Amino acid sequence: MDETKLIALAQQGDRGALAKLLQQHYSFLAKYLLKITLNPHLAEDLTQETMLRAIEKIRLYNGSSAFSSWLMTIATRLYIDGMRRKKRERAWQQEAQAQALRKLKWQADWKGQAWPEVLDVLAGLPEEVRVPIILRHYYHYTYREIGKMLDLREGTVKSRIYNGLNMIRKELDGHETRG
Amino acid sequence: MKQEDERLIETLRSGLGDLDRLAQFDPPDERQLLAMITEHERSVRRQWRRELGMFLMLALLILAMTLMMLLYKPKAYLMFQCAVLVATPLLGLLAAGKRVKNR
Repeated sequence: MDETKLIALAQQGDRGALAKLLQQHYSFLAKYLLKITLNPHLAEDLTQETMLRAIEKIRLYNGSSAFSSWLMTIATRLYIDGMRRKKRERAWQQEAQAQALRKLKWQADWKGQAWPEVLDVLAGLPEEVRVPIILRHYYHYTYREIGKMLDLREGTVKSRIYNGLNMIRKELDGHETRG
Repeated sequence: MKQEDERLIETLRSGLGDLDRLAQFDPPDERQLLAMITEHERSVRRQWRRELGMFLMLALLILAMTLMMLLYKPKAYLMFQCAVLVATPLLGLLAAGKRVKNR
């Protein structure tokens, strides 16, 4: 059954169709969340939270964007809101993030995969900058679409991406010089 | 776009692409998802009923108090209402002022 039909059925209250729809997008969403959080546990938790939010709000989906983009919007807002709320626990959060990153590096090492330096740099950026960069340059969303997803003005998105890329470039150049 | 930028973006893309090979996220099977949906819908309904009950109780309480005051102490009630009318926008203004000052 195609996605449009599944969405229509899910909006009419068909739980089976909704389950199928969520199952189809689960891995994609989790991988997206891993990219923006760089933390597999957090990515998994947020995927489940996003699924629950999607169950509640499926009737509000109006088809103006792809279903996967709608899920990504919910997930991104959950992530950014969560980070804002936990600002007071910043030190603890940074330690957890560093630990998750170390774990990912071990995993890469264990699989014989080289760890891309750029991910370290990306992890050091604030989430308000990291997320738009990933949405623009990995998922190829337009500035306007990113603005809609993050509830920001197009100009703000542009400047965050521009500044973020400069920060990454500077950091990578620094690594090369140190190396 | 400058060549330098393109190179940086390519590095970024390939680094992020590598992450997909690192972590496996297997989707739950349909039965599990169905159970999750049913349970979540039930819990949302329960919460909605609880909130509605709370709202109705509070509304009833406020209505009862208003009627009692009007019946037994109409003057005190009017004074209280005037105080509320003055205090509410005043508190709003104070809060806005504080926000501006903090910024």
